[in-house]
Amino acid sequence: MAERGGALTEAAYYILLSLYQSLHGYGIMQNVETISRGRVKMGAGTLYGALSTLLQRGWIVETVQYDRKREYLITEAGKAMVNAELLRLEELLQNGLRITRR
Amino acid sequence: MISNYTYNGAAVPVKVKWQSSIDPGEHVTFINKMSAEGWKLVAIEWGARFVFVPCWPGEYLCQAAFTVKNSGFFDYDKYQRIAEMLAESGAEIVAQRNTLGSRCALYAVRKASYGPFEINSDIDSKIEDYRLRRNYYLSFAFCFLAFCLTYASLATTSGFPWLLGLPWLCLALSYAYPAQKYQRILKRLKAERDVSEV
Repeated sequence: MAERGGALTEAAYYILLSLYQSLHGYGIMQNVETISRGRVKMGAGTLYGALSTLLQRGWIVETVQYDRKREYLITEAGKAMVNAELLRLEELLQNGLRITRR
Repeated sequence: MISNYTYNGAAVPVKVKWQSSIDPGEHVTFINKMSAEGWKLVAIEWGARFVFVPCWPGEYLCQAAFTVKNSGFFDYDKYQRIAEMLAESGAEIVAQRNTLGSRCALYAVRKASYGPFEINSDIDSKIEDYRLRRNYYLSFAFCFLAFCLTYASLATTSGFPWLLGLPWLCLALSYAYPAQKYQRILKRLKAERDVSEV
C-alpha cells in the first residue's frame, strides 16, 4: 500500500490522522468516515492491510487490548511521515494555485 | 431442498443448496442471488453445503475476505481481526462447520439497509486480495499437475494404470480456472491503478 514515490495512499494518510488518539479497528473506520465527511468508507480488508503495513514500518503501535480488542496509536515516526506528507500536499496546492489563478 | 433447522434457538425452515465451485467469488455471487430471492445464508458445511433461512428479498448482502498467508496457509490473525471489525460494523460472520477447503475465506452477511458492503474498499487492497487468491489457486493447480505427471510417468515406465492420474488432472484444471480468472481481474485492476496515477 502506502508510500509510492514518497506519497502516502489516502487510506494510510487518514488512518495515521485518526491515530493521533488511541482507537480500535472499527473506531478507525468510523473516524475516517467522519473526518473525510463521509467520502472515504474503509472496508475491513483495506483497514487490516493498511494497519499491518503501518505496524511493520513502525508508524503506529498496538497499545492496549481491552475486551480482546486491539487499539492503535501513531508513533513519532508516523507523525514525521504525516508532517512530510502535509508539506508535500501544501507544495502541490501552492503550485496548482500559483499557475491556475495568475 | 427445504427442511427444519435450529437457528438462534428456534426451529426454522431452511433451504439447503450444494455448490461444487471452490471459488469464494462465485460463492458470493450465488449467496447474493439467494438473498435477492429471500434466503439468508446461515452456515456453510463441508465447504459445499450452503444453509439458508428465510429473509426479506434483498435484505442482506454477502462479501468474502480471503484469509490465507503468502505461503497459502490459513491466516488465523487476519481472520480474527477482519471478523472482529466486520462484526462491529454490523455484519454477521457465517459459521463454517467441518470444512477445510473453505477456511481460505471468511464469509460475512450484512443488512443492505446499512449501505454498500465492501471488504476491500481501495484499489491497492483489492489488488493484494486478488494476488493472494491467484497464488493460492495456482499453487494448488501446480501441485495437482505434479501428481498427475507423476502418475503419467509411472504409467509409461512401469505399466501403472494411467487412469489414476486423471482425477489429479481434473483437480489441477478446477484450480487453474479460478487462478486464470483472478489473473485477468488483477491485470484490469493494475491497469486502472496505473491510469489513476498518471
